[in-house]
Amino acid sequence: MRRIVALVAVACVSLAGLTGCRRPEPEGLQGATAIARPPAIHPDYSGCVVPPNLAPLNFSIQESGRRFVVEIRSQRGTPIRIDTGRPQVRIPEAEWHSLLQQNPGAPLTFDVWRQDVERHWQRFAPISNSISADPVDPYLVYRLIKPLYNVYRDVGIYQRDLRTFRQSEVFHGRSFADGCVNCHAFPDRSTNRMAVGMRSGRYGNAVLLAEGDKVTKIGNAWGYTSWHPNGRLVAYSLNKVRQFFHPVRPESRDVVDLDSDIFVYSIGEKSAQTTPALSDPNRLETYPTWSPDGKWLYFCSAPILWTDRETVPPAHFDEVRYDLRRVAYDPQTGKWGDCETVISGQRLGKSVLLPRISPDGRFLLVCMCKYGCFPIFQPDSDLWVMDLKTAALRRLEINSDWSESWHSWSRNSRWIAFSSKRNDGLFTRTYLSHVDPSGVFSKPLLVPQEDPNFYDSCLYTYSVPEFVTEPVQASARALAAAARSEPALTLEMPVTSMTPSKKKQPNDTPWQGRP
Amino acid sequence: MLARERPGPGPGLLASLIPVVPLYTWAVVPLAAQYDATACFPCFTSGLPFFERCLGYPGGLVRYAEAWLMQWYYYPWAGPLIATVAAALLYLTSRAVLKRLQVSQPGWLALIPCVALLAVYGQLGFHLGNLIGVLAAVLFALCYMAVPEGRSAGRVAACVGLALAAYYVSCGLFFLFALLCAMYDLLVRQSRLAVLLWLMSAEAVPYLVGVRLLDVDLSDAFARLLPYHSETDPQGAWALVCLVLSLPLTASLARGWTPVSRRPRMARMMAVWGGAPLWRRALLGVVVVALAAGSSVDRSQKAMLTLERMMRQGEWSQMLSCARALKPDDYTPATFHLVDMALYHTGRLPYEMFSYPQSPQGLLLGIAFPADTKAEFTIRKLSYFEIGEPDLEMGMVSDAEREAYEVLELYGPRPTVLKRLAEIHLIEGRPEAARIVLGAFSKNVIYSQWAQQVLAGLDTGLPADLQDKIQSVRSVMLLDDGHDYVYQFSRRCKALLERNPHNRMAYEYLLAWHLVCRDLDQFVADLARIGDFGYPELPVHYQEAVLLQQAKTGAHVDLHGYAIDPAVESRFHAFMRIVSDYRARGNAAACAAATAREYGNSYFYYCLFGTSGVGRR
Repeated sequence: MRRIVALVAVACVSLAGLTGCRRPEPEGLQGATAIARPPAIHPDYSGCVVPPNLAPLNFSIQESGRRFVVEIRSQRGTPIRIDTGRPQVRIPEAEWHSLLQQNPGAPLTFDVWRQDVERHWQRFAPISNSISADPVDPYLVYRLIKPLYNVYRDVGIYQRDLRTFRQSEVFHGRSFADGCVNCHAFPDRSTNRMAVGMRSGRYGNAVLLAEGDKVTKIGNAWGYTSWHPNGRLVAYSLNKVRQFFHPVRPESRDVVDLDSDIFVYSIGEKSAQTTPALSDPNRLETYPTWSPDGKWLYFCSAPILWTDRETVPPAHFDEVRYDLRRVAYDPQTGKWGDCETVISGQRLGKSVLLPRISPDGRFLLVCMCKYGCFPIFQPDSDLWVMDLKTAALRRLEINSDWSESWHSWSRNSRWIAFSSKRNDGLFTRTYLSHVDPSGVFSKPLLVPQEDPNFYDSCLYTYSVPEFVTEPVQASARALAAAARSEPALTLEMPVTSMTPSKKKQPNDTPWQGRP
Repeated sequence: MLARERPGPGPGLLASLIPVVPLYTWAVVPLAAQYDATACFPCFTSGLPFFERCLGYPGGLVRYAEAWLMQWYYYPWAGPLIATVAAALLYLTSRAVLKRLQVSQPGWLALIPCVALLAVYGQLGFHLGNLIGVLAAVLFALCYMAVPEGRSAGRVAACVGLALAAYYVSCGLFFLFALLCAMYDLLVRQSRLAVLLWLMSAEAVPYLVGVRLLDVDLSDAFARLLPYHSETDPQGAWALVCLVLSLPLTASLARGWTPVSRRPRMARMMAVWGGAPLWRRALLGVVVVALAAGSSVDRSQKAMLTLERMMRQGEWSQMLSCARALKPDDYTPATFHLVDMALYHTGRLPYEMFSYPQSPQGLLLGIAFPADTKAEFTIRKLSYFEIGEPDLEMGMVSDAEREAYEVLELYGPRPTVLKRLAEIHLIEGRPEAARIVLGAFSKNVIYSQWAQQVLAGLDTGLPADLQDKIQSVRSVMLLDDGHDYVYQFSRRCKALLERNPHNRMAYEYLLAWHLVCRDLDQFVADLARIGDFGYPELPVHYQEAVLLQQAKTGAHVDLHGYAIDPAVESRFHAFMRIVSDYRARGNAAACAAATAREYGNSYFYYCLFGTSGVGRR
């Protein structure tokens, strides 16, 4: 008797497997009443351009109904049909990828039916997206933190395979006594080299330079970093950064650099250098970024409006507006050339920050906000693009009422990832936008998650998303071991106003580890 | 053989223990007061991500179990139930281990770890995880003792497997497991090589498995779940040490390190003890347990937790009754703050605040001013949960938000902080941010329903009590940035009073701040706003301050239409006469002692001697 029951069970399972557990088409679907508007879905995946290699756009239908049918179709291939009793729509990965790969450049349509309480079917107007022919870089590296004020404890850098929902940890502060990890940077979206900052009460402030799985700890804290395309130079800023709080403002946090300079570290010579244009004692220099040909170093620069470099916030902090400048560099001789202003923040009445140039050298993307050096804390921070062919500068249409920042270009120059607080003004999320050759940016697409409601309870912010073309090569173990070790090297810094004095405290930062 | 002697009472004694533990943990040390009470309360989120995170490090499973179990402390019956089950398991496993170690009278001696357990509970620290770790270590040791004898590869594999499992589950408490295994090999199996291996494993396994294999920080690999580790609540750590060591110490004292024939004195005593009548043994057992449990209660911690629970439930009058029973030495900075909150909410702050101990740090403990140094963080870290609540009530919403996010970062998504954050975002008019916080809150074991109700209410209408709170705070909240970036409490209060001149909490805390700082010039200046609050008479402490200021400066203080009560004035003059007499004799300490009983609850006593709440109750 037991054998019979087992045989029947096996037969049932096999049959279910063969039929793919599909439900037959619900009765009455063909004769469904039309609803003239598309359904409300969350996240809002409508009117978007979708990378052909992106993970499924799982979404939640925000309409009432006792049962839903969703059909996803394009010009070629079998449509994907999902019949569900729940409003959460999870699209089968294999079928999704097959559909997208067959239809580059074609429309992508979501048809949604719902069955109301009286079991009548209704069909919404279709949701239209389009599939891009340009693939996005397969990995995104970002930092996950909660909205931080004074203290940190749970800070980690993660990587996401954008083709799937797989997220893995690159390096977490818990591996070195709840330290802080920040400012990860890669040369030309390749992960064979990486720079990542660390701060720790126990293990000190340092930067970790990884080459493959070999990690070197340099006992100097770097700020914002940019790798030269040749992979042998790293430009970095040193910032005397201070945080303060507004008693009343949607974003109460604010940050000011009391002083800052830029240096360039040579991997081969294990030494740092600077030039007067990058370390003017009367100006603040920050956010270095190399041009794709490596012949220019772009950076942001603002006059120091205060004489007292200790008081926080300093006088006229809300009048500090950074210009975008660039200084010529000859990678062969290592000689610096002339410095010129690319965008005058003073003239625009905006602070120009975070320059990033598309790898094809065509577009320069920056953040602009009313004042200051930290766009993520400025609700009015917007993305602006400059066409480097024509020097035309414009504010992007994809901006929201909240802060946009931390943009990154894909290797093919056709996609940007950026951080935005557009959903709620507080929690940054990563969005993707397609950039066509004429510089048109598509509607931002929230990076999809397996659980369509994932972001609705996620208390972490996604910051500094960086595209890379492969998984990070340095292992978490190697990074942690280096973080816990003594520095292999401490740089002799050129003497500037930012050269650390012996009197300074080792943890001279506004954010502190757990008490 | 000792093993053939009477093992002593087992299940019978256990049955008699069962009512003791729940009674103790319900009536004497109310475990329900621990629910979300301090930073040490473990955070728990339902769903796979939290579970997977816990699986990722040694000791994580125990932390997961602890976090889940402690959520149920919300219900008064749950803590005692959990404690009873833990005590029963500890008793049974200890008894079994002692029996395996061939200790005489294991039934009675197994009571010793249970007494240590009661002492741990008496300290009201957050040690459930450590306790589960101890139980796991003892259980794994018991498994080892049950592995059949022999030199087979199977036995070796079983030992290695048990060691790895014991380390993964109980982390730093692996040393307890290794120690018990070594004792067994020494005393029963008499294998010196095995003893050596076990002792070496206490060092080798955490290093190889924790540090090398699982890439855990060195101190975490060796010490997580042990007393004095950074994740272990320092409250009552001595009791935890007793608990951890109780079983090996009991075994070694009772059994000795020598062959069975040369039993130590304690073992001989136990043999005699085993022959005593049952009633005598039971009586002595009860006395020992009662003495140990009763004397181990940390009354200060108990009062603190009780006050906090009452605050969360809005039982302000009961809080004051509870505080009155405390000695000034029992006050922690958090107690000062809680008592002041209760005084404010019962309308007694300007009348009775100096009937209780006061300090400037205590008064402002709940206020979320930015802490810039590590020392300030350290002072405030154990009081994070109180910080921000008065800010919110007063209208300093951004400050409350900042503090709540600090707590979230440091201590995870706990009910108190998520609830407060949701309220803050709703007050700020940021429902989308509130929605995310509520989404996270809906994964809480206890508050899931509340969070979902409010989430639904975002579209259909919020619950009435929440609406009331939102309106109440909005009516007082700061609206203008005022370029006030450097935090100063008095300036912030004045800004609040500019925003809403009837903000009674801001006003009373401002004047209380001047009083505790003994800044009478500022007090007199800010007294000018008193007409906005409709006090029937000038509050007593304000009268006392005015009299002091007049005596100090010789100038008349404008009372803004109020008068000094003649009784207060005559008390002041009587006090000053006594003080003058002592001053002439140059004996300040004697003066403070002589006037304490009569005037120890007055502001002039505080102003002169720096202490308060020492008068007649």
